Amino acid sequence: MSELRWNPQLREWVMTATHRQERTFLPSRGFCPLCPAGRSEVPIEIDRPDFQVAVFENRFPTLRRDPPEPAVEGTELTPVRPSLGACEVVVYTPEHDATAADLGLRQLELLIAVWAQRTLELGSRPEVDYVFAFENKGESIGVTLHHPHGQIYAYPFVPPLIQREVAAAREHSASAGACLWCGLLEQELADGRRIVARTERWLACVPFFAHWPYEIHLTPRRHIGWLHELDDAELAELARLLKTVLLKYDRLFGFSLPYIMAIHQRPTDGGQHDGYHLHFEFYPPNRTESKVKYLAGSEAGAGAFINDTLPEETAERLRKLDPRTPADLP
Amino acid sequence: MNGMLHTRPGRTHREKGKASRDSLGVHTGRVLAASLSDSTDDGRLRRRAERCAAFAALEQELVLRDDGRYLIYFSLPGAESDDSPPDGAPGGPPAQQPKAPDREPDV
Repeated sequence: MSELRWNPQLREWVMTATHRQERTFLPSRGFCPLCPAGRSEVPIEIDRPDFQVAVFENRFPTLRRDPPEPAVEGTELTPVRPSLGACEVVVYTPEHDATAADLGLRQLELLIAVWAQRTLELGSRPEVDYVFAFENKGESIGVTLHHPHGQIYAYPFVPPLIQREVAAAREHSASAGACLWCGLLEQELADGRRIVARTERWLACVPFFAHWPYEIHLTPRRHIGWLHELDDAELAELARLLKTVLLKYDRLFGFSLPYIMAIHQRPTDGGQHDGYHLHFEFYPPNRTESKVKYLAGSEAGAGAFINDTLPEETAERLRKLDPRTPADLP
Repeated sequence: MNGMLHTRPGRTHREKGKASRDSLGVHTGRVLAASLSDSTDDGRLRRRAERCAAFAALEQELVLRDDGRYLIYFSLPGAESDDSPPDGAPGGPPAQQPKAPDREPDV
């Protein structure tokens, strides 16, 4: 059973998906559903022995093209909607033990192109107001499959965080006459202390207002809203910067660092969002080698984050890790 | 400033559907995907999408499963060759990466 339930307290939709309780949970290597045919003892999703990138509809979707009728009736105060939309799985590589950091630069370019293509494809559906590509990596994040993969959710609404960013962008544009993220870029470049890595066309930094100790945002210097607007040089530099950041993460504590990666693009709801600026956000949960940050009372109960570190210091630590700059990659 | 994904400013949500192309379920077999440049009727958008050679070279093959779900294989010339340095080498991932430790209580 799945449906969307309106929370009038926070003015947001909550998605129920009871069938997801049954999804595959940390299978052994021989039973990985994301391994290609011939490598898994039970080929479930990928019917070929090899591929570059594969995308398929989630077997346990929260949102779907043909959603069931809601199991409960809504009220005027708490309406209910069918869980219309899409949930896709993006398999990065046939290699079960790889991570995104292991992908070659050309493979990363392919992955970015796939995210862009899926955004266009799903965003063109009339019911889809927002396309969200993301990756959950590591058991401490809650992944149920280790094979390197990400997901794409095509929502029938603009999700709350994006709504807040859209509103902030609109207000800043109205008051300052400029893009909010272009202003942040200018500030970070002038300050320099929070920069982790940079290319001519992209900047990676721990944001001034980071929620997480080793949070990194990747932002293009040019004001664009979607991945498909990247040109050749921006695409190549994004792949290089992504790999640089991921390798730095893996060297931070000497193990493959868990993280959430969120790609923030403009909504596809047909509205005016010209002030919104494409960017990537990475949230690793670790605050030390052996301790993770929990979303506890202040964060979960009041929505107010406490960062136990200073972004200027964590950025410096990340900056000094190899590869020092994207230019150091072969 | 940049244009819309699939609508021009001022269009309503409902009109958005009219501007979109056929979605999945109508293609089968091999598709040489130029979909990054033909997914919309917005001329400005099309020109921008074509600025990226990798997007134009993206190939996709759609498979429809018996259970009604779709599977798409994407490829890009040259993507299969791993240009990453080996584990432990400069620029490569660290060798013998252990797993992240289990959670400890936060304070």
